[in-house]
Amino acid sequence: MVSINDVRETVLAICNKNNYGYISPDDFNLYAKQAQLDIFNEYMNQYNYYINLENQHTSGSDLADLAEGVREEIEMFISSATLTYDATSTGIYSSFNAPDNWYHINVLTYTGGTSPAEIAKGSKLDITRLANSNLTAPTTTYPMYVMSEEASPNRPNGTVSVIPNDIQGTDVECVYMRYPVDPYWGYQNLLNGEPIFDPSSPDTQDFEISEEEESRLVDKILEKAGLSIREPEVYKAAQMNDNQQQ
Amino acid sequence: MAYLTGYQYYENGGFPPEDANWGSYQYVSLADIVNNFLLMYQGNHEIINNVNRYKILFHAKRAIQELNYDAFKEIKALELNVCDNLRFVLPPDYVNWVRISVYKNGVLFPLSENIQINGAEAYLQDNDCRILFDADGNILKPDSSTIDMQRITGAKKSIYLNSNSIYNGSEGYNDNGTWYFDFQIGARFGLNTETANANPTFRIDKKGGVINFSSGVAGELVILEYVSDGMEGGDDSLVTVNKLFEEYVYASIAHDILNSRFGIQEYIVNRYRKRRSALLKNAKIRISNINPSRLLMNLRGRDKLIK
Repeated sequence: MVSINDVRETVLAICNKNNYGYISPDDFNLYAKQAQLDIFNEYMNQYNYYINLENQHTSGSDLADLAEGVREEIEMFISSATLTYDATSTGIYSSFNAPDNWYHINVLTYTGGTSPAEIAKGSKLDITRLANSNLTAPTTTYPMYVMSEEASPNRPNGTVSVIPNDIQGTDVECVYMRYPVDPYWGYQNLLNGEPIFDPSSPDTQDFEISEEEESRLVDKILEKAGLSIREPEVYKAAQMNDNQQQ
Repeated sequence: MAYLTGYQYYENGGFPPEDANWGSYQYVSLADIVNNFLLMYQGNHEIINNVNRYKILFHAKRAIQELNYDAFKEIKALELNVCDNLRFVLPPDYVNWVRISVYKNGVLFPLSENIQINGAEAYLQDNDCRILFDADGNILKPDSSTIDMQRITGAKKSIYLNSNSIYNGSEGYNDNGTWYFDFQIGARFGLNTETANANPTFRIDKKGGVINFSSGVAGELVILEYVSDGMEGGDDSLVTVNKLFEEYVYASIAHDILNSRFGIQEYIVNRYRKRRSALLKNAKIRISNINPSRLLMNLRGRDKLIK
């Protein structure tokens, strides 16, 4: 966790020269959310890059195991949930509501059989061929699912369509990667023209990514603030720092 | 799959059927095979990466099917009574036959496959041998062809030396103390060992899904020994592999995936092909149970005089 107040103070200290580069709390919260998402989205590319380094034998182990470091960061966002069955689903699929705030579904498990069965991901483009094949047709032993962003009143988070359709009820467990919670610098009303940080506000939310990313967070917020206040020096310096740290 | 306690093994934990787990330790389930393959042979640091589970499942099942055809030596047997229509409908999981026997007087009599056909389809014809059609242009067919009808009624002769042999009942003559049998063309010299069998015969109509017997089988118990493909009627949870072949199945899946992937170097494919082949040979030798004491028993008969 990175303290949002620490980041805001650092950003303002760099940016707010003679009250020229002041960033309002609402603007800061918007930049903070985007900065966290930028870093979060880079995790997967970084992980892939480090895995490739390992396969080329150019990455070490223990402290030099870069992939493991990124993996730990990613695993901070792994959650699990029981999916909610949509009783109105028809056809060859059983439809479930996707988990709240999901970024990537890692593992779906059918728990209604004699032993838990992993539900493998498939593509809607292939599912007809798969279902028509004797050897690969999805069964309760080897079930499959397809994802779609399609939302409905019963499936507001998106649709997980499981095949065969006799998998229903509360028998589907999901392990998934979620988006980080949006950071929020909660504050009290202005006092002498200056908002005061309120750590006890129910809206206050620190950054979820790890502390080692604090300086990158500052740089990314500065990039956006520099653009906002049309200050090329801030933007360029922040971008250069950010690139060096990647 | 977890290891079983003695109680689970012998009495299925008190649940029927009691024999559900007997002998199960010889086998590894398809679920274990697929799970282990995904864990051990597929991933970020393996040669095989980003492969869908259904592909692994497909190649695992194909390997198991191939093993069931011969290497497993797991012969299924089905006993059925053959009625007057002289027909034995093939079992639902039938792939190929191994042996067909009549069980009579407490003894199994293996039957020979007839080298000639014993049944045929027929078309209705008029007196000028022109084929007859219905109003829709379809060919009219009788219920049974003549050869089928004669086989069922026992009128069809056989080239085998059984009761329907064409020679059975033929008269000969005695000349100066020696019996002579002149048949339709020339005399008969020697014996055709291929057809020298007194038992009834059969022929399998694969597309029709039946075994057609010669007339001597009516009312008899017939035992069909056959091989299946091990798919257990489509119930994936029942599909198993003998543990002696477990490593071979992994190698086979890996080879089949690499062999069909674009951009895999030929030397890698060859490496996996050789590994698969070597493991299959090892497993076949193991399951053959060739051991010195068994060979010794056979060798002890080598000096026996043939009387």
